Amino acid sequence: MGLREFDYGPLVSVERGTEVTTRERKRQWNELRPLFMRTRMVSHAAGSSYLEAENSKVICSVNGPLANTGGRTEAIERAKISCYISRTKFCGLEDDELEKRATTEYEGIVCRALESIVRVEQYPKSTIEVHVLVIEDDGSTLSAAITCACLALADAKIELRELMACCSVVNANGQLLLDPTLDEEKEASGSVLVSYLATSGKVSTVFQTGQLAYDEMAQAVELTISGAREIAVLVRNCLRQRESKDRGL
Amino acid sequence: MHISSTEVDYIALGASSDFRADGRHAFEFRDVIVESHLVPSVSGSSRAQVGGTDVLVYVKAELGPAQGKNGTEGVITFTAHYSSVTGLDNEVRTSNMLNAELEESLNRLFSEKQAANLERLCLLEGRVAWTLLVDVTVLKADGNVLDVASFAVRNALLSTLVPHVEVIRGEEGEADEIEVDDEPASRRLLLEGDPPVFISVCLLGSKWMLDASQDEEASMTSKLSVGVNSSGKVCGIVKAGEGALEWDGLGDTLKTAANMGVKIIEGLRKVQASRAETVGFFA
Repeated sequence: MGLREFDYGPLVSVERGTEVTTRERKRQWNELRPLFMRTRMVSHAAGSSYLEAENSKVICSVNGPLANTGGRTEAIERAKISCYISRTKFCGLEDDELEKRATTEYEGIVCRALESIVRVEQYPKSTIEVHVLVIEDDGSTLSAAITCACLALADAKIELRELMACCSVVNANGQLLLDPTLDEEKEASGSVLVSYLATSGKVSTVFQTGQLAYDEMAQAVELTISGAREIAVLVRNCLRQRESKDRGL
Repeated sequence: MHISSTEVDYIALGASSDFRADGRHAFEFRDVIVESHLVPSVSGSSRAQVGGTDVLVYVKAELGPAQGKNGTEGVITFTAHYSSVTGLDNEVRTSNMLNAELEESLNRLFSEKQAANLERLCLLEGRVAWTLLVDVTVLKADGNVLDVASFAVRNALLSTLVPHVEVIRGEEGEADEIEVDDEPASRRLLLEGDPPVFISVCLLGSKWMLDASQDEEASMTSKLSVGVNSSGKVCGIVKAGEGALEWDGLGDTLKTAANMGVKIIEGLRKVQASRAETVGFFA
């Protein structure tokens, strides 16, 4: 099965102004970058997806459920999710920055986020492999990876409890910025990342860095949730569009 | 650690009716035992025990190149590992994930600029700064390892003694130089900052609780580890566990965690004060 013709995902448009503001392209502090999502990017994977927010580009493919081999002590009555994150050499990070990225921990975060939505009890003795490739990194790639992985799982027809969307916020000089770019991330003194479950309204990942008073932290989380809520709508639309295309509607 | 679903139910039901196996309340911490200056061959060391959990931390201070944007910062590097006697499954213990998570969580908490005052570690701008290598060994795991490790790291960092280093201002056209005083008596405390600690709250059934034991940790659905400093500010949150949670009702729980953090830091500080003075005939 080769690549199908491009089924364009939902796009959010922003007004392009010439006026110079603190954020690129006149973006408001609580405004997301235009997002583009589509599924079926990798023809030999069970499911795959692609997510682009301007210069942040992430591709995700899902293999499985595969039969578990070896590992006698692992829990057998449920699926194991393993996640691998890799970056291209040209992703936009310097070599020393690449080294500093805590990939193993990020993989753990993605895993945990996915475990909260996948019905793991439906796939005993099996492994679901999630491969994330960060093609270009212009900030917010961890949250993009989580959203993208959720799309790919849905594309692979793995049973999910609900859809999930993930978003992040940074605190730069006392100002909260939604969906930060790489430069904004570097400037920031703290960040919040939340993955939001679209149906139940619960959160499944909370990851905060930097020093904040409790109220500021709560405010940042609220903002992140509102961003994730917007993304969740796009995720749903993207899947719905593909579904209707499949049915030839 | 594997535990049956019946046990999970039993522990979760117990939690809902405020009953824990060791008779504690939901927001009660086990006794915290902290010792410092245990290993003579390193610059700073500390051991923290809470219940059966036992963590040993040592700090080695080295002179290295200055880091940071303007070369005005020192570095703190963490390595963490679970020892083979922790009582964990071998397969679990040797998986990278466990070590990496502990390492990165601690790294994030303590390498934060405000936490460690990294600029204090710098000796010659753009050239020489202290590099702290922090080695965290989990000797025994009985729940709440991250919190206990953070207590030990805080204590070890604050009890780290380094040789006195004198900066000799270079004459015109010459660069500044440093001179290291190797007299043991002249060693001084490296950090006087206020590093935060982690306080974790676990969700069992529908109840949150502090300082979960190993069994409780195996039956929890979510765990929030909150970094807290002495003024009660939040310095980082990591969520573990696969459950989802309602954000709206969390405020009180997080505030309870923050208060407990302030209390524990107060306690740790008392231990610190009694240990910091040098003793001995020629001191």
